[in-house]
Amino acid sequence: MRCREAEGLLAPQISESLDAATQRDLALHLDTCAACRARLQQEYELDRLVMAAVTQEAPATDDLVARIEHAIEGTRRPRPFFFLQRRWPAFAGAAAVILLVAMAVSRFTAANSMHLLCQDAVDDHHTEVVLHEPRHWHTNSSDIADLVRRTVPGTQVPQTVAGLSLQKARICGLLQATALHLVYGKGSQQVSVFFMLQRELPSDSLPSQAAANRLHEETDSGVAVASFAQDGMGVVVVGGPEIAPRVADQLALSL
Amino acid sequence: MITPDGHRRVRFEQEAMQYVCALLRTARRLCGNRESAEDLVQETMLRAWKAFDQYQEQTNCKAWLFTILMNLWNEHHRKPWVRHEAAVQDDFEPDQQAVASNSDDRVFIHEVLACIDRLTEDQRAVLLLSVVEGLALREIAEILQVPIGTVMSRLGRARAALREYLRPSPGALAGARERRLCDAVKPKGY
Repeated sequence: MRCREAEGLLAPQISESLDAATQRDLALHLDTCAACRARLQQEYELDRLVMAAVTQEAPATDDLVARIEHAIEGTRRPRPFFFLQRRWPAFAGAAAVILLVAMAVSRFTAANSMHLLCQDAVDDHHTEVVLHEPRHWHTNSSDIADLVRRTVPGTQVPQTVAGLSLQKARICGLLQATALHLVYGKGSQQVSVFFMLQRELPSDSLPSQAAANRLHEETDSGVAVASFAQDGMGVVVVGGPEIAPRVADQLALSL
Repeated sequence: MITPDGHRRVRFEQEAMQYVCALLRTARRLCGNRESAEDLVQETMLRAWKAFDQYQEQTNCKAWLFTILMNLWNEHHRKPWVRHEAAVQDDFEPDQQAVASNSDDRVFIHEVLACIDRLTEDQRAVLLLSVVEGLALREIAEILQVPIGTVMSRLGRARAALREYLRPSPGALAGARERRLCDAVKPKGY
């Protein structure tokens, strides 16, 4: 291989992608050519310069990550991409129309979100607690405390509520939120309590304190669902029609 | 039971969100300002979230995200009504000042960045994806939807142009900064 041929292959990204035979030829040439070896060092130094400049200049991303997470959760409309900046009058008009439509259907969607959340909780309770699907549950109190810290930090989870004792805990998902699923029980009676951060849930998926602190409903599967939101925390209780509302009442007072 | 949505969200957090910083530094150099770059990255991540079911586990998530980012960039910035800011803002932000505390270093970093920004967009994209992000040339060819030979020639031209831009002017003082530049751009056979 001659210097002229080697010259085009010295960039590290290019030399790494060469076939074995060409790599061998290049290595042989470098062994005997001091000028190309010096050039290879320059290529590496150029990479170091570019890498250092771009990575040192990189801005912090905490705010952006928060924005992305909010946008994904659907709780905040994403900021328009920069090309929208010049079309704001058209988009403002469109937004006004969308707002009017949204107001018209908001009652429906709010009820729908609540229904979906409750249905998801009932399904989880039925599968995991009633049918005893094999899942990894934590029963050790320190493990449960760790789950609480990870999912709903700052929450004091009671060991007993309405005469039922805390038996086990696991992490699950309700709608798009990460939920802490606790099971309280005594004898054959078991109640599921789901704790979630309210900001991870679609807005209006839980009754607000101002409207109604608790929503009790009997479901087709013979269990009752009681849900409420308090201090940024969303709670859904699923269990027998007698006990679930009592558990929810006591939790609402104790949290 | 973890619902499909909950499981999907956890996977997205673990596999995709870690690349926000990488996407942002590339977008910053493509868009020319931080606000547009953040919008581009946010749009990229939202599109990735919506299409996350199409992403195959154990494949290269970083390359997949950069494909979305470059598609969005190509989709929008070539349209005539898009404001393209060729000149990158040259202000250093507080976090940068903390990293580059020495004023000589700040000037030096700024100078290298200005040279990168003088490259054509195609050359700049290939340079950033290969040198900074460490993607293989084959992956870059797929991301940019061009033959691998095109990627290699763009990279070669980008490096040659960058060496030329960074070459210290004749008669410049031979300080530490110039010595660092010389290490990278001194003529062949030096």
